[in-house]
Amino acid sequence: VSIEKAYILISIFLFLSGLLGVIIRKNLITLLISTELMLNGVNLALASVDKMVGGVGRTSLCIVYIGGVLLLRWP
Amino acid sequence: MGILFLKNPVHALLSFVSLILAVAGMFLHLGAELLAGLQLIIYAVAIVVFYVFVITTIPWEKVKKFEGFYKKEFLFGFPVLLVAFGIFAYAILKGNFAHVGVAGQDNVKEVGKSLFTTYLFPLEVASVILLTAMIGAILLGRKEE
Repeated sequence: VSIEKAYILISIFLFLSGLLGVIIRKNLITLLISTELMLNGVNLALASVDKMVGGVGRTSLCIVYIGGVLLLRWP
Repeated sequence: MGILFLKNPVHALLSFVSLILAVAGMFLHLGAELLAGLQLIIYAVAIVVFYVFVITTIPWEKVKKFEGFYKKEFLFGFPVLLVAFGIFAYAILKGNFAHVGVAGQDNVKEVGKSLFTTYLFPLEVASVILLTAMIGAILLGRKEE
């Protein structure tokens, strides 16, 4: 298994853990932290796909990253 | 896992900090230095401080009221997500990814250059949206006379 594929597996694990957290947790703060976990999983998947495939574009990756961070903090 | 199962939100937050550092390390290993830097600056500093502020602002009795997790949802959701992980893992391990092009080497320079050339319009739109959010936050936070 290549390193990139292993990272994609980790990212899927992170995303699904975050999803489980959103479903099962009662506390709003931990619920928000779980959404952060999902966002981290998506970013890690994008970074590893960029490394594996090439040409996905680091800029679009950064825009997704910063956009996700800002979207979670929308007032 | 600590985020999912620790009852105390402060402990969950500490577990989240360790996760952030681990993901930053993974970004570095993948050659995305800018993302690793952003991860450390935005997440490990700004967002964790934001959560600490939220935790200290909310009365502890209210936090205690929503401790724990929904057991029925866990019993149903956990196997479903386990199966989903199995399916994704099988697809990724068996499948092959098409090679489109070569990723750029100097990624900080590359991102900076394309943000101010190709992606100038989205950047400006994002700045206007941020300004609107800031004005909205100020208006919402103002005390009513």
